[in-house]
Amino acid sequence: MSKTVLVVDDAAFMRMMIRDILAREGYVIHEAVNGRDAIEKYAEVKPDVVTMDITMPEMSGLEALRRIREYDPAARVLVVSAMGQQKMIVEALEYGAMDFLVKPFQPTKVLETVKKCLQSTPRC
Amino acid sequence: MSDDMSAYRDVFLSESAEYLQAMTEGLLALEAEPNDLEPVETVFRGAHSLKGMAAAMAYGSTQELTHKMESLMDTVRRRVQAADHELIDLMLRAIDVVREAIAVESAGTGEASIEGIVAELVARAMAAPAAAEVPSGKAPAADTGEGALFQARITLEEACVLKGVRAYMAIKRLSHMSTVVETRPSAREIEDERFDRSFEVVFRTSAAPEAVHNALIAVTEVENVVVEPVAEPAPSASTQDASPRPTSSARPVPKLSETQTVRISIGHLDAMVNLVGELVIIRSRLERIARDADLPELGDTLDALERVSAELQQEVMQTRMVPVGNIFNRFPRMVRDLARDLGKDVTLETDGLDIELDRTVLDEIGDPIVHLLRNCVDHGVETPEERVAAGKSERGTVRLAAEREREQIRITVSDDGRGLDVGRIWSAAVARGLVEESARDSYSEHDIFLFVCAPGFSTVEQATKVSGRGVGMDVVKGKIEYLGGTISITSTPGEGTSISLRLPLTLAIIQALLLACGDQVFAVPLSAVDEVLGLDEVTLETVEGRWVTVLRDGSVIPIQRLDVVCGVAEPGEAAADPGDHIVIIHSGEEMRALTVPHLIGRQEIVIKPLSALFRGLHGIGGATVLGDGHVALILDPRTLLKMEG
Repeated sequence: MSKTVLVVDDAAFMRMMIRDILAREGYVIHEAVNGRDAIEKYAEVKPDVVTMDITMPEMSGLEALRRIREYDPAARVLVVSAMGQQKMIVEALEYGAMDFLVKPFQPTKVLETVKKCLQSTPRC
Repeated sequence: MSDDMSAYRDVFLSESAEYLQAMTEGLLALEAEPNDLEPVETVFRGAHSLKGMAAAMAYGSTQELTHKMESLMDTVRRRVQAADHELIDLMLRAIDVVREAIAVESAGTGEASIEGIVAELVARAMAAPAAAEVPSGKAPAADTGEGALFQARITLEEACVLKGVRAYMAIKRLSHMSTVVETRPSAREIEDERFDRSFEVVFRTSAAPEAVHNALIAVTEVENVVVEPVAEPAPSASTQDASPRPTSSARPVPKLSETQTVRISIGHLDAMVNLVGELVIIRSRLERIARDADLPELGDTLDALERVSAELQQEVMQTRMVPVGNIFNRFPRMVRDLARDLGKDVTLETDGLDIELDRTVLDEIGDPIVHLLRNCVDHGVETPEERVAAGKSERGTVRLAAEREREQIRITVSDDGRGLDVGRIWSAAVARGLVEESARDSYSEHDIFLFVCAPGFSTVEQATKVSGRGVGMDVVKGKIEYLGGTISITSTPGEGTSISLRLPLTLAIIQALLLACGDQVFAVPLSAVDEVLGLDEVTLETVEGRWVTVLRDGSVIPIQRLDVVCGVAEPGEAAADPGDHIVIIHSGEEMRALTVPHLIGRQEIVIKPLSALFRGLHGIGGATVLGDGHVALILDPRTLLKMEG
């Protein structure tokens, strides 16, 4: 069965980019536009992987990550961030993010990271 | 957890928070004065006490972490290590992790992840004496783990962008299956990306080396991993002892507060405020009856009741008052971290920490102040190079001060940075269609500065990670106005910017001036009233078809009839008729004169929020019940002044 990915980003452009990269490889994509939306969509679609932008309005990716991991300790979340956000990525890893992607990214890197994430076991 | 334990837990939580705060303050003091041993003791004792408390609560992670912090501070106490910036940084980060560990363990939601920071603390505690370079030779193991000693050499891919975080991820992965003893280069240098593509980790594990290898090579962007056994170091007497010192348990617990306190839930306090509010209303109703019935004896008793209820009210309000220091004390740490991130040198001065504010107000202003401080450090204060070039001291100063101003509190956030550029703000406002270019003359400098509070407004070309996306100042302004406060901005290019927030001390009971227009009674918060004058004390004139009043000091203020403003009467020709009095009110820097038919006097009123139906009314901010049972509308100077004259 094809794996589902929830792509969380406030920028439609970024969502489109990640969606195109992953959809081509047969992933089923759902989208959320901010942290709050992500939490709702997560409960709704139970995706196999979440790609979570860190800086978003309404609710940040970090907060959403924390809540999703609280709600589902087996959640696999990748954080997506820009250069210069080292501290936030470390914080995200502390909160249980499995890996991270740095913008701007190459399609191969996105695919590789998502695949790795699906292969490893989340630490509950 | 048994009831007994949960009772201990509350005490543990509040006390540990106090210790952590005291330790943070100690570390910041130590950073400013690295040779002062007094703060070293404070931090050391804090960690020690926390360790004991955590052990009693069976919070394993917290206990282990605070133990390592204590050991590290002990090396500073014994002058084996210097309290340099890295050490302070490490300890501050450790405090953050302690906070998280306590949160996790007290909630019983599992184990906190402390491995990373513990490894860093251990590595630092073992580091060679001060000043010397970070050791690269064999380090004695901090034998806390089980199993054999190994070393992993990890090489990252050439294309790896955030090497520091990647390495952190690998070390974290490793720490899940082993005890990390040391990293080369040091954890700090790794975090700062001060390594090429490879780094080494010494660890102790009972897992198979292959399993470790597989776990590490699975980390994204890790190109190569070599795991090999390391010889056990020879026991050495001169190295760090991590064993508990028997004498230290006899150390007195630091005295944090002399005041005896009881914790009361906010719900009880809110209920008390409401009840006292009712009491105030009933009291004034009784007073009215006594006056009407002309019963002197009842009048005397009522005087006594008034005194007692006034005191009661004051006491109740006092219980809700919290010194602003309670939230200000976390800012020095924030400003320091932020300044270091941005490569700036900034000190935060605070003043008026003992000024008290109703906790409902205090709870709401934390975020706006954080935002303003961030702006100061990020946009206001220049880099040390820029400052020197501008003939200023290298170190910038940000000031956060609170002061009482009658029934209000003024909080000022200021910096000695580059100041705001009026020209650029004006052009940005024009470019965004907020204002017509041709209207420049009717805008004061102060008005133009306030454009930075418009939604989505930012003149910074590139949004930095800290601030500058233009979301924020509008949120700050919105929040302050919601609290019934005002915001004002002053700035001088090259000298700095100052933002003042004026806030009511409380949201529940206020002093008001009662005014009457026909049958309708209005209340104006006394904090908004500047002056009450007789009509004969001013001159009225028309300027461009509008009535203005000229005060004795020559200042000119627009004037309106209260009955017209409030829709009780139709707009008429003469602003002065029918008014016996002129009440001058202000909101922020704006002033307005109102002609008022009848002044009732000054009274304490309890604000009742308006129902949703009336909330949209401009000029009206709430309602109150008067002594005679009638309802008076409370004027809201802020929206009132925005209404057309």
